[in-house]
Amino acid sequence: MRFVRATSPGRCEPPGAPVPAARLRAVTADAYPDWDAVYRDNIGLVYRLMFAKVGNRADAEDLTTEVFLAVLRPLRLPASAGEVRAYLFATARTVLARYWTRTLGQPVTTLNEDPAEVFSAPQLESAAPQRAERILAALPARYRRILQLRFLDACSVAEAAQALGISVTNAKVLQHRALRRAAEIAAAME
Amino acid sequence: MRGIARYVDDLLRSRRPRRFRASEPDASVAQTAIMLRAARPGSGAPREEFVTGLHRRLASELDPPAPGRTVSRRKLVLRTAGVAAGTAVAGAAIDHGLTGLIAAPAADSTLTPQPGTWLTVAASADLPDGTVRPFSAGAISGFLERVNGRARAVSGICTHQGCKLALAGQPARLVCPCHGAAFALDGAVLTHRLPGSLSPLPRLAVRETGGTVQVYAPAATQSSPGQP
Repeated sequence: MRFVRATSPGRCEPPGAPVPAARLRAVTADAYPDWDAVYRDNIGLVYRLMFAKVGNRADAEDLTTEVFLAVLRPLRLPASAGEVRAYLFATARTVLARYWTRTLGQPVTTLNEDPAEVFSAPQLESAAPQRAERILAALPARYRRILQLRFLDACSVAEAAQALGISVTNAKVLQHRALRRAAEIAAAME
Repeated sequence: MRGIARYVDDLLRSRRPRRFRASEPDASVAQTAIMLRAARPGSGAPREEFVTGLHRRLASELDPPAPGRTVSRRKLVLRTAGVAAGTAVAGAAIDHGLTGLIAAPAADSTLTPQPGTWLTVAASADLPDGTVRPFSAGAISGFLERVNGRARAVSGICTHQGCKLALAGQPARLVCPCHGAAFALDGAVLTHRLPGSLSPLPRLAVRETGGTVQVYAPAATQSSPGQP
C-alpha cells in the first residue's frame, strides 16, 4: 500500500511556495550573554512548539509573544542555555494551559514533554509529521485520503471533493468521520 | 457538533479558531486536527515579520532608555498593560523553578532583633576551628562555624519558604529539603532552581566570652497575649 508521505509538498499549495528554512541552530555556547541571544536562539523553537499545540498562526504568535514577555523581563543574564530553556518551557506550559481554559474550556493539548527532548532540534522537526503519518496509515483509504488532502496538502473542500470524485457535501461528511476515526486511533496510540 | 466543525474549518482556513464550549470528544477531535495541521510542511516556521516585530517590541521594553534607567509614567502604564498576563504567568511558573535566573535583591544582612540579647549557644571548646554545628536560641535556629579562629553564625531557615536547612556535603553547605536551594555558611546563595529571586541567609552577630559562644538573638520568645 502506498500513500503520500506527510512530508511531501502540499499539492494544493501555490506552486513554489517557499518552505521557510528552519530557524533552529545548535547551542554550542554554554551561556546566553543577553536577552537578544535568548530571543534569537529560541524564538523559532517556542513558536514551533506553540504551533504544534494550537495549529494556527494567529494563536501561535500571540502565545509566543506572551511567553517571551513573561520570561525575558525578570531574567538575569548571563545564564546557561539549559536553564533559560527550562524556564521558557515551564512558562510556555502555563501559557498554553490558560489558553485552552479560555478558548475551549478543555485542556486539548498540553506541554508534558521533557523540555530537554523538545529543545533538541531533530525531535522538534519531526515529531508531528511522524505521528500524523502513523495515524493516517492506520485509517481506511478514503479517510486517509481526505485528511491528507485537506490537512497536509492544503486543499479546499471543493478541491478535495473533486480529487475524490464526490460532492462537496459528501466530502464534508467524509472529512468529519475521518477526523473522528483518526482521533480514536490517536487516543488508542497514547 | 456545530462548534467543533467550525473549529476545524477555521484551522483549515488558517483563521484564528473561534471559542466554543468543547465536550471531551470535541477536544480529542480538535487535538487530532491540530496535530494533522501542524504536520503540514513548513507550518512550524514563524513569519519573518513576526520575528522582527516581536524583537522590536521586546527591545523597546527591555533595553532601558539611556542614561539613568528612568521610565516615563506613560511608558510604565503601557508596559504594565501589555504584560499583565505575562506577569501572572511568571508567578505561576515559580514552582517549576530554576537557578538564580532572576535578579536577586542586593541583600546581605545581619539579623538584629529588637529587643535582643546575647544568648549562649555553645561552649567555645565545642567549636574547634573548621567545624560547623547547629544551634537553637529561642526564636532563632542556625549554624555556627569557626573560620580562622573566629566564630560566625548564620540563620538556618531557607529564605524561600521557611524550611529548615540541613548541613550537608564537603565543603559544608546548607541545603533546603523543600526545593533544593543551597547556601554557603556565610549565607550566600550557592544554587537554587527557583525562577524567582532568593535572598541570602541573614547572619547573626556572634561573640565569645568566658569560654562560651553567644549570638545576638531576640530577648525572649514570643510572649503569649495577655501577659504584661
